[in-house]
Amino acid sequence: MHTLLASLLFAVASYASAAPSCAQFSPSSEPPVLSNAKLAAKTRLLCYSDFAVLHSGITHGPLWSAEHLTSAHLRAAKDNVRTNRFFEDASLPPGEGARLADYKRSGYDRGHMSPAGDRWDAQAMAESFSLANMVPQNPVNNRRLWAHIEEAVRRVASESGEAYVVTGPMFNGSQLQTIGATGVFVPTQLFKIVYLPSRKLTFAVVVDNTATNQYTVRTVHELERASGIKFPGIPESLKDTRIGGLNGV
Amino acid sequence: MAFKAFANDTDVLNIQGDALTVSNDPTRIVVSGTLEVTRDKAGLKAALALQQAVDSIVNVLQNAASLPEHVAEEPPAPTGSVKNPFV
Repeated sequence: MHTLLASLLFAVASYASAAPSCAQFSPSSEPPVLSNAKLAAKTRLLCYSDFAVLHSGITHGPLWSAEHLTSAHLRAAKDNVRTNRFFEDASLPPGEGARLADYKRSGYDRGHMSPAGDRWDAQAMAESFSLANMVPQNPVNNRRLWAHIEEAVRRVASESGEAYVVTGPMFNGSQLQTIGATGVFVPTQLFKIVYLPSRKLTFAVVVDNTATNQYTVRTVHELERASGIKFPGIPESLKDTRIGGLNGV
Repeated sequence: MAFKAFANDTDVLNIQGDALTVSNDPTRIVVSGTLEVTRDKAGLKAALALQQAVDSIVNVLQNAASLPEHVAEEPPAPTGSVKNPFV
């Protein structure tokens, strides 16, 4: 019994000491902060080998997913060929995470926040299929517009040497749609925020979670106000820059 | 791990990252993306992965005892609605 308790304590201790390494995916080791306090209920930070997720037991999905891309890792990611499997994250308490069954015949794709295509090794790619990294996403949006945005971010990150990227859902309006027995919240919009330290450039894009082919460019300050999430690792002086579009970056 | 066509609705074959994905499902497999097959070892690796997946799909379909002209559309699962707790 003592041995069990000791090993449990050790497990807790090693978890606690391992937790801060999650910050490596954010600039200046400063992860996103929830400025809308209502978002903070039942949130848990999940650290994966190549990205980090703040998971909400209210929405049953991620609020943000953070990654640090380098040109070397993206070159390795491009060579990745493997069969992956969507999975329920066992580290989440029952009822907090989405279930595979929630997405069945829901009309929505399991949409990656940090994309599989950015992951540079097999373990990281497998981990990106956690439902904790997914939101219900319009299938046409996911397969066309969103795939193009992800590819554009990879190109920009590669050309710039490195990039810090945060991707997440937005929930606007008085009523929200849910799917499945768990009641997974369907986002009304998705955002992606990109910071390129070498170019002192940061920007955000927002898309409606519909079968659209259009994205909207936002400044980071605008995105912070609209999302209820702040990005303290990005210099304030850069947060009002507005890019023309992804092709021009 | 080889791609086993129609065996489940959780497997996704990723070829060259997210360039081309083959998403498994018991009734409708989705092939999505644009694959650039280069005349090199990386191109061969990608082409072989795609071939294995397509061979598996064709094999299951050709050996099915009674294949319908078109698979029946499944009714969508009911969705719910909640008051937005974040506004």
